[in-house]
Amino acid sequence: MIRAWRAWIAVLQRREDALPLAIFRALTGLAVLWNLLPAVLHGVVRVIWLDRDDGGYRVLRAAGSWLVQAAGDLSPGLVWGLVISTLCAGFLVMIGVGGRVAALCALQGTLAISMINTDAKGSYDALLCNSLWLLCLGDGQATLSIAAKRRHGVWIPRVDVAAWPRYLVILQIAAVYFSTGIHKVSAFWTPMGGFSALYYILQQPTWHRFDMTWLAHVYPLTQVSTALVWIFELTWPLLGLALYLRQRPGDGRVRRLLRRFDPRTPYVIFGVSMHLMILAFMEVGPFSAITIAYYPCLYRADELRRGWARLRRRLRSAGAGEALATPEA
Amino acid sequence: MIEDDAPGGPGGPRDPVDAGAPVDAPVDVDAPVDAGTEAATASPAAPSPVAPTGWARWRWHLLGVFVIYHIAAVTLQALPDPGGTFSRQAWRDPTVQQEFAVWADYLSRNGYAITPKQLEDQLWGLAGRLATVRAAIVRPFSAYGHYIGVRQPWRMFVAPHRFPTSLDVAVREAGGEWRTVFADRSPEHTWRRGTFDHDRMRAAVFRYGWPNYRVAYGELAIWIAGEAARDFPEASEVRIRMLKRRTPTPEEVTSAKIPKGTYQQQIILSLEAQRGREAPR
Repeated sequence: MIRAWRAWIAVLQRREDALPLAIFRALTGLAVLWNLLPAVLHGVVRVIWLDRDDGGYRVLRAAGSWLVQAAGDLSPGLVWGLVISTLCAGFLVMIGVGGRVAALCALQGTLAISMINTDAKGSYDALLCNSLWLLCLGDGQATLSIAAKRRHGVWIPRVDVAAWPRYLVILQIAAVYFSTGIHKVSAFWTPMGGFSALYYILQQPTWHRFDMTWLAHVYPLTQVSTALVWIFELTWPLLGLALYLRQRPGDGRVRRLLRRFDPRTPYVIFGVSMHLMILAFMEVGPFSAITIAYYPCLYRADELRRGWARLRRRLRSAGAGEALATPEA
Repeated sequence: MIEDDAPGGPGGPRDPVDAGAPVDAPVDVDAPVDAGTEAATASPAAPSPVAPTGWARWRWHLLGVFVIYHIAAVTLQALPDPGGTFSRQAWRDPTVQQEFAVWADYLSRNGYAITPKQLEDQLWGLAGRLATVRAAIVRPFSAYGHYIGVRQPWRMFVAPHRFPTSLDVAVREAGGEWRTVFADRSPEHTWRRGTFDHDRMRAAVFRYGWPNYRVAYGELAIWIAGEAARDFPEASEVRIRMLKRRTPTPEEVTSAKIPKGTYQQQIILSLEAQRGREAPR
C-alpha cells in the first residue's frame, strides 16, 4: 500500500514540456468565445438568459448557479456582466494572459450562464466547464502565450510543467466518449435497428443545418459510420489503457505491438473527421471545438513538435515540386 | 499551485531559461525516439537537497488525495443516468415506444418472450433502481459539481428521435387566413430566424416537444406573442404549434413519399392583449 502510494506521488511529480496543455488552453479559450459571441450577435442573450420581465421568454428569477444566487437578483446588469466578463476571460485564456485566475473566471462565468436557463443548455456546457477547471489545475500558459513571450522572449519556450493535468485531460475525453457510448441504448445504434441511428439523427430538423434527405442515396455509408461511431466511443477506455501500457517499462509482446503501432492515430483521424462532419452538417454550438481541443493532449510535446516539423517539410517539398513543375512565364 | 514551486519547476534544473540554454534552440526532429514512453520524456522532480518538512511534505499527499477524488468524480459521474428521460409521460412518445417494440421483438426471437409493455415496465423498475444507486454513488461529488461545475451529464444522441417536433408560428388579421411566419429550418418562413436557429434555442425548442415541458412551452408561446405583436402590427392573433412528423426512411425519400405529420400543442393568443401590456424592454 505504501509502495503504491509512493508510486502515485511519483507520477504526480512527473514534469514534461508544457506544449500540449498550452494548445489545449488556447483552443479552450477560443471555444469560450465561440460559446458566447454568436449568442450576443444573434440577440439570444436577452431571449434565453433574461427574465420574462426583462424581455426573456421564461420566468427565471430563482434560477442560476451558486454565483447568480449569491448575487441575489437575476438582473439584466448581472447577466450582461457575466457574459462580458466571461468573454474577456475566455479571450485572456486564449492568448495566455492571467493564468489560472482567467481560467477560473471563465469557468465560473460559463457555469453561471449555463445554469440560468437549463432548457437552453447543451452537454457541451459541462464539458467546457471541465476543460476550464483542468486549466485551473495545470499551468496552461507556460508556453504558446503572451505570458511566455514576455517571460522568455520567445513564443514557444520549452518549459516544464506538471504532467498530471495532461493525464487528467486524457481521462476526461475518454470519459466523455465512453459515457456517450454506453448511453446509446437505442436499437438503431445496433444491428437490430440496421445501424440506422446516424441517418435518422441527421433527419431531425432540430439539429441539421440544411435538408439532409440526400443521405437516403448514400444510406449504406451512414450505416457504416453508425457502427464505427459506436465502436469508436465505446473503446476509448482501451485507448487510455494502451497509452498507459506504452509508457510502462518492459518488453512484452503487447507493449512491443503498442510501440510499433500507435493506437492514437486511427482514433485521432476518425475523431477529428467525425467532429468536422458534425460541424459541417449540424448546428450544435461549440461542441466540436471544445472536443477537438482535447486531442493534442494525447501526444507529448516532442511528438507534436516532430509531427509539426514533418508536416512543414512535406508542405515545403510539395511547394518546391510544384514550382519545378510550373514552367516560368 | 503545486507544480510551479515544485523541485524541477521554473528555476529548477529542467527549466531551459534558468539553465542558460537558448529557449528556442533548434530541435533535432529526426532524432530517433525511443519507445515513445511517458517515462522517457516526463522527468521526475529533481530530488530536493533538503528533505521536505511540514507543508512541503504534506502538499504532495494532499494533491494525491485530491487527484484521486477528481478521477472518481469524472469516472463515476460518467455512469449511465436515466436523468431527464425518466418520465412515464416521455416514455409514451412514439419514438420511445418504437424502441420498446424493436427490443421486445429481438428478445422474443432470441428465447426471451416479452411484450413491449412488459419490457417497458421492467425497464421502468430497473431505471428507478439504477437512478437511486447512481445518486448515492455520486452524492460525494455534488458540491464539486455545484461550485466547480465538474459534471458528466452528456447523453448525446442516445437515440434518433423518430417522431421529432418542429416549431411553427403563424399570424392572422381579424377574420383573415393564418399566415405562417416561421417554421423550423424553412428557407421560406424566416421570422426571427437568427434567434430560433441558434443552437441554444434549438435545444429549448427540442425539449418543448416533450410533454413534461408543457409549462416552459407555454412561456415560450407568450414570448413569441409579445414579439409578434410588435413585428406584425396589423395582426390580431398568433398561433404557435408543433409539427410532429416521423422522419422518412431511405425508401420513402427515394420514392418521394415523405410522411406528412400532424400538428399538436397548439396555442392561439390574442395580439391585442399583448399590445395592451407595457412592452418589457
